[in-house]
Amino acid sequence: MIRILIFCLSLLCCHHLVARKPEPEHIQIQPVFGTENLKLNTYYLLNNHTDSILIETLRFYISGIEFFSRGECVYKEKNSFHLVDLAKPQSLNISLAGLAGLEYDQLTFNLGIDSTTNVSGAMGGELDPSTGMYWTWQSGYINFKLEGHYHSGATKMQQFVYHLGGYAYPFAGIQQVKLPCKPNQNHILILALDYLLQADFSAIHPNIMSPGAEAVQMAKMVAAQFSLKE
Amino acid sequence: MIHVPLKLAVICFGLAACRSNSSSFEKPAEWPEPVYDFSKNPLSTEKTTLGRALFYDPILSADNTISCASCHSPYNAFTHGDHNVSHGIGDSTGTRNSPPLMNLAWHTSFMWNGAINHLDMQALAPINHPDEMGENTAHVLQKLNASNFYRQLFYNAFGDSTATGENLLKAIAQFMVSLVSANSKYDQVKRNQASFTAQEQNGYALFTQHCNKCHTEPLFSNFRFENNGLPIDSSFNDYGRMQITQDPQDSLKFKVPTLRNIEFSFPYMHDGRFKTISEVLNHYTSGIKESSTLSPLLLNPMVLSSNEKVDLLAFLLTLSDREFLFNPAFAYPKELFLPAPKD
Ligand code: HEC
Ligand code: HEC
Repeated sequence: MIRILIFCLSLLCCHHLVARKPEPEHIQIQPVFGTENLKLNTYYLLNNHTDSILIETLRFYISGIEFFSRGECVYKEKNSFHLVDLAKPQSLNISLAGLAGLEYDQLTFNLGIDSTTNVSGAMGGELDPSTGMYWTWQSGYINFKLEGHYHSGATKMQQFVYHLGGYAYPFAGIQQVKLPCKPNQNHILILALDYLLQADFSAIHPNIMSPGAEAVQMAKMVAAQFSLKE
Repeated sequence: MIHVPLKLAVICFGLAACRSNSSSFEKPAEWPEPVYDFSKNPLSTEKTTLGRALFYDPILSADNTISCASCHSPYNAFTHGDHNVSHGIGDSTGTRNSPPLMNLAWHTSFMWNGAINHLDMQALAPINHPDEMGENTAHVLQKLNASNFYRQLFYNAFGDSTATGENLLKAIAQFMVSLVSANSKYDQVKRNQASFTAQEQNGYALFTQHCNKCHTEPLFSNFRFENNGLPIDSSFNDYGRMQITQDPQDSLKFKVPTLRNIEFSFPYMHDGRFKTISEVLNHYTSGIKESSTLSPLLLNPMVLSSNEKVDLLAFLLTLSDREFLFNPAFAYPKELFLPAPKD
């Protein structure tokens, strides 16, 4: 009996929603160089107009997606862990059921995996360690993976491998991103990697593959490159 | 492929095993609560069986030659008998001595430097290490998913025949937590089922005085990282815990190992530098190398007469648990793997 009542009530309350049959909202993640959508295994000219860069791997975790309205959380995605992989187009699209119709003014998410999840043993799905986003010689998720090389002039090549992670004090690598955000069917989340195009070869750190101060610094820098295209 | 002809046996096994016989972890009375979170990986006979098969199967290595048991042999308290540093794939050697495996449900971290934060994650390290098993996890899963033998075992254990990283690791962890050693003479004395000789009793008193702060009863480790005064071996330059925390205060600190079954887990220390327990005792009385991170407990030289060393040794031998070492439930799973016609 009570169930039926609740059902009728909810029908009444959500009447206009039901009528509109809202599609789930999406976050479409789009890594870019300037105005160009980034493609893997493609040469891009650097700002110095002589050298170029090629990205072979771009994978990262987005977790803890929340929407806020005037400082109050109005939507918190359950089990919010997404492995974004530029090689897998479907992974760039995050569908958020139950968000449509809510009022909000801010999106927050984490670049990376929180420390509790990092110390809780074997996980499945996107968090399965066989995805290659988990270090093996030392416990911990790799929050962000970027691999490729610079092609300098005609011949010289410089590989770079950035595996950013770390969950333990003082080198926890997870970064929170907060962006102003209006209700929208499809949020385009831009990750602008333009800083890579300003390569100064003498200053480049070609490899960061373990937790530490450098990894944290780079994670902060990457996290600051997200923006929403409204 | 040694397992292919086993289909029949496996099918019978599968029929016999009704899904998930859950079992509970038996904590020895008087021991602290285990650290391992069983709620996230509820024990079952089928999962432990799968874990045991995986532990003994070289399928986890790149060329199918090395299993976990190659370096962790049951008869050596699951360490690598006679090798100071472990010996892996293609005759490569690592830089560390493989620790004995027992009572792992109580450990707060794994590896000599604590690099691994959870028992589930431990197996990833050797599987993916180029000098140990030289594999990668995704490829191991492919091999397991191509094996009817394992598809059946995964089905029995998890209700899903597809091997995933999560289930692979959880199964191996279940076998490892089952390796409980709690029936040494020491344990029997504690349970009033046996009594120490006068010599053992005196050794116990010396132990309590000199060793128990680090090798704390009843697990014989406080699971902390300590510098016990070993001079650094310049061929390895192993600074231990500092590799993980990057904190100079952790330089030369290593995880305190258990002393249970110490009689069988030679050679000793993280690099296996000592072959006998007597050498270890001599280290504590006359070999301590001072450094800024040396444990304050070892700053004042430990004085032990040769008789006292004999007594202490007699006590350490009461930590041997033959029931554990020769427990058929922990041994090579013949009933699963054999008779294996060689082809
Ligand atoms: C080539 C030899 C080798 C193989 C194969 C091997 N291990 Fe180990 N194991 C070691 C060494 C060496 C260490 C210590 C390494 C260190 O501390 O850096 C170790 C450490 C461990 C530890 C940590 C124990 C503690 O007290 O901290 C566990 C658990 C373990 N291994 C389980 C396994 C499992 C499970 C497998 C199979 C998947 C396996 N090992 C395969 C050599 C090996
Ligand atoms: C300050 C803490 C501390 C004290 C006190 C201490 N130990 Fe240790 N012990 C350690 C540490 C740490 C290791 C491992 C060191 C390494 O491999 O670098 C160790 C290793 C050992 C080992 C080798 C175990 C193995 O599996 O390789 C034995 C045996 C041992 N200790 C016995 C004793 C005895 C007996 C005493 C008392 C006389 C004692 N220890 C006192 C910290 C301590």
